[in-house]
Amino acid sequence: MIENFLAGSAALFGDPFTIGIFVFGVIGGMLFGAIPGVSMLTLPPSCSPSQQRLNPRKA
Amino acid sequence: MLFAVIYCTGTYGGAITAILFNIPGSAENAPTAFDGYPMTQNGQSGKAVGAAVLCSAIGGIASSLVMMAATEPLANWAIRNIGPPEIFALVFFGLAVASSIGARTIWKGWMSVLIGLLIATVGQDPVGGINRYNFGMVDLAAGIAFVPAILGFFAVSEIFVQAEKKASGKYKAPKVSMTFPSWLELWMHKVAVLRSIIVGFLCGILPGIGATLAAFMSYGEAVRWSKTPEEFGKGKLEGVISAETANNAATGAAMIPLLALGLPGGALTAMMVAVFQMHDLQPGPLVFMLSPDLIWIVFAAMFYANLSILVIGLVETKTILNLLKIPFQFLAPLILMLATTGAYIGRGLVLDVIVMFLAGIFGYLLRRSGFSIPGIVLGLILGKIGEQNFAQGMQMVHYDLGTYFSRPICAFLIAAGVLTLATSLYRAFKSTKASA
Repeated sequence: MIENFLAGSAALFGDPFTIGIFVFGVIGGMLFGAIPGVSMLTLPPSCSPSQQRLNPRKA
Repeated sequence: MLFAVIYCTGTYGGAITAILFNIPGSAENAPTAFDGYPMTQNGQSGKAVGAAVLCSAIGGIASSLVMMAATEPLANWAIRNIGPPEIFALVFFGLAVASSIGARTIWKGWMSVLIGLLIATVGQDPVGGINRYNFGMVDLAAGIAFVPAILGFFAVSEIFVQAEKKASGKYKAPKVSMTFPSWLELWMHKVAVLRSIIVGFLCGILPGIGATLAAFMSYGEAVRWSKTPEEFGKGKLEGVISAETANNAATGAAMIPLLALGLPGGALTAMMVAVFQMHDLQPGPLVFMLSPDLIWIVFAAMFYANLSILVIGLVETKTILNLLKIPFQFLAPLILMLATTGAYIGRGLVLDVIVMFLAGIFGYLLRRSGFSIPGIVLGLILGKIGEQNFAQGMQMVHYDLGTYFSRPICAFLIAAGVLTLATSLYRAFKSTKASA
């Protein structure tokens, strides 16, 4: 399990673009989660078009 | 990966507005407001927000670790043993506990839950599709949406209460406190944190339940196990800790049925299925064999996202607390504007704005009379889930109600619910006798 987790972590932080997506998700989730009525559910659909272009790991 | 990260941090995000302004960002943060907002009024906003940050991170990290270790066996157990009858029984138990939260008397607590259940019946019934209490309005056929109702009962009614105090000269601006809970205080709540992780995880693993029920159940359990249940709803740190630990603990658990069996547990996990399919992948047992690297990136991302809550939360909290320094005459219209936008934006219906204001007026009057707003909101949210699962369960057992009691988990939960009601009734009679 630990090796798999480390491999996952390496893949996550090994690429600046993936780090950027991670940071976007963290901040976007917090902001959208805090706005009443908007909620975190609004953010993923607005990202959907770009999801198609990303590779499955990043999406 | 992106959606999994949004799921973790978004669940925490709503806690801040719930604590500072009594406006839960989403339904799963509503129980956080029950005690978080009274803490703000008592000048303990820093403590409440700090506890929310720490406990969200602890709940999320613990849940991520269990998710990594036990996705497959836990999913198999839950899917084999938990069905609609068990979920209905869980809701019944949750409602029984909810009746003792925040009301002036036990009868008003029960009435509050019943009012919530009554509001939950508006719209089409889940079996026959018959319209109930929609008065011929098409928009009401879909029922009362949670978000406008929650915003009305919490935010709008709170503004009315504060405005009344302002008009009568009794208004006191909330004190801004930057004091975080001490490690000793958190250590004293270790049992609550552990219990909330377990409750949140077990609720999160059940498809269709997720973080909302997890937060409500955990809060209810905190009340049930407390030696001073009457202090809940008045600014008890344990209330914030229980709700926030559980809703984040549910996020990791919700990934288990999704990844192990391909069953989405809620709206956001359903969107994740769409992303998998977009890339010609099908979540389920095969994905562990075909794309293990992909699964472990998601697991790692969720772990680090929960860790980020701790880091970013602690850094930004002190800035956010300064929002409390805004004078009421500016803050109240701002909150109303935000709440109105929030109510409208969900379905794009003016009806939802009207519902929000009616809930606000209704909530204000009920609060004055000693009814419990958390009880009403619990009745509304759990009522819908409970009715749907009861209907599905009855179809499953061919309308033989006795079968419910032959299922061990279901029978245990129903018995626990009845026992809770009986205990609260006994306490009420005892205190009436003592005061007479």
